[in-house]
Amino acid sequence: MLELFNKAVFAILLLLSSFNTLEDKIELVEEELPIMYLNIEKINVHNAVYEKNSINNDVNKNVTIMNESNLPTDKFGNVILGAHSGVGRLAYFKDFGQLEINDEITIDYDNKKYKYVIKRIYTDDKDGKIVIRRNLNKNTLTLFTCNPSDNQNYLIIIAELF
Amino acid sequence: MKKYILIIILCAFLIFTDNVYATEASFSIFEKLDDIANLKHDDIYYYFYYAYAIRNTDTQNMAYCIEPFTDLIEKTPYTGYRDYDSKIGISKEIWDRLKLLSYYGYGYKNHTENKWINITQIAIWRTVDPNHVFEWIDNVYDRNVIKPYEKELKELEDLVNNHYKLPNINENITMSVNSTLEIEDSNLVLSEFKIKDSTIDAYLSGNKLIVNSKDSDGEITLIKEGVIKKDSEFFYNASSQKVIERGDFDPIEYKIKVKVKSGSIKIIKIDSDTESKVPQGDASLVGAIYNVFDDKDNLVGKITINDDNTGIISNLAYGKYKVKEEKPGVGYLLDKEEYTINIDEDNLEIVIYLKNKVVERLVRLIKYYGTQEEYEDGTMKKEIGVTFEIYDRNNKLVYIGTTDNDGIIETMLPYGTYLIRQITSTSNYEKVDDFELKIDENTEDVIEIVLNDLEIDVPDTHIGKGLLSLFVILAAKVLNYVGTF
Repeated sequence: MLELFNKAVFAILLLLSSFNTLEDKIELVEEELPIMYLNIEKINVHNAVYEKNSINNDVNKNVTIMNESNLPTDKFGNVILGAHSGVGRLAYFKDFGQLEINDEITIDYDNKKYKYVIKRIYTDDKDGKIVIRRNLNKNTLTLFTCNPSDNQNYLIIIAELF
Repeated sequence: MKKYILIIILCAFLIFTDNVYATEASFSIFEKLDDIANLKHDDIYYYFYYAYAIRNTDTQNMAYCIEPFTDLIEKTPYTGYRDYDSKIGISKEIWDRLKLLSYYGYGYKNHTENKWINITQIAIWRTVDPNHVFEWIDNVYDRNVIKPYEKELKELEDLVNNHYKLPNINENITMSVNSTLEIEDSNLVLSEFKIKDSTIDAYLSGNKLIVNSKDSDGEITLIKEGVIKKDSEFFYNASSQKVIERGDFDPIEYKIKVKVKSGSIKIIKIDSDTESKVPQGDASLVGAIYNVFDDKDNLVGKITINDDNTGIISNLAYGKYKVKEEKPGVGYLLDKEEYTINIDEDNLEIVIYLKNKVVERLVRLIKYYGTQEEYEDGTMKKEIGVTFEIYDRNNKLVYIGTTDNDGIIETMLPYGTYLIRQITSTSNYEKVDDFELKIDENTEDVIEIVLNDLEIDVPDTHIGKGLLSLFVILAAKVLNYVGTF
């Protein structure tokens, strides 16, 4: 009985904390539709991505598409998405450290599913910039976040369209 | 039972009877040779006699006296001997000479005039009785010594003396396969022979032996034999002149062994850079094909290079050949040179090392990095000190290099498929930056690969632990601890 009570209290408190941190402000514009969805089955990521100029295209709200990004349909283009790692509801990429070469990622865009396979995982200094090392003759997907293990650098994943 | 007794008796007869073959005949004086007579003399005594021709009474074969100036009892029975017998009263050597004199004398080829009867007889007497002089005289009355047949006598002597002369052809000859060999007899006696037997295609033409070879050795047996088709015989009668009846001499055989030899050309293929049988990259020396031409530019065959890097063409006749590559192995350039090969008796098995240059290309990797704007402006920065590894199809590292001050790495790569991998220095993660590169005949001479790493601005993507989250975690720990009690 006491054990059950403890678990219930813990669950309620955790739920409250995920809705409210000192840094978090949650705003949702429920009318806007995302342009694509990012799915990484291995780490249970299923996230919407909004237009570049959308107010929802914000790393503090959603998985963010970068200005330099292409779309999956652009020939030899590179889709560049970033999100938070760390703790909290917005830490969509908190489990990025579990990803490995040859893992699969899909993007749903324009009623089609685009499957990517991870080809490269590397880190880069956390200086506000990342270097994207990809094959310019292929359609690629670049995902980045702060390194979940130490927050000292960026963790960058390059996947190629399958 | 009776049959077996008869067989035993017959065998006993054959075993115990004399092996000498004996015939019976009689002889008569047929022609008296006019205008000439014979003289036999020594230092003291002179004997004169008419010149006669003696023949076998029944067959009329020519016969000669071998007891000079001894009477012949005509038509009296003689016993004939084909093999040498002591009854002849002369040595075996003289017996053999008499057979030759009688054969080459009267009746031989154009020796058909009666004079040849006397010429042969005189030659026989001079042989059997060297203690006397035998000459011709005009007649038994006037008895003037004449020398009408000196030239003929010499001709007869030469024929007898050259009887055993063999063709001046080596009894062991070698010749090329699938060829024709003509051999001339410098002794000029080959026309006296014919081919008795041959296991190789051969024939006589005048003074030449012509042999046509295929691919196996052979043997030719030449034979010289008489044309009378009967043996010479010595006839004996105790009361009468001993006689030799003209017949064939013992055949003379001469065997010539023909060794047929053939040549071969063996090619050993090697890489021209490494001088080794091991090909470079994914190229292969195996499967190359060469054409072989004779000196008249006829295609005689092809040589294909096998798995052991060799190929061979055999059964080649002597002569000059040209070898030229028709198709190189995969990944190698065609060798356009023509090679001349000479095959002869002393150079039969030719081995040549032929080389090919592998298809190779210069690969230049240029490493840039920069922003999207710099990429679009063409003003990206060269990245120095980036290491690349190149692996072949078998995952063997074939090259490792680092970009220089111009961000460049250059290397020659031979025909094949390669994996190029960029190595970075950050730890804890696999650094896989690989792409495939294929080098073949269609690849441009210089392959330039430009690698651009774009740099973009990104936000801080770390979201830390808030105070409330910390409280929740602490509370959970406390409750958990309490719960254990």
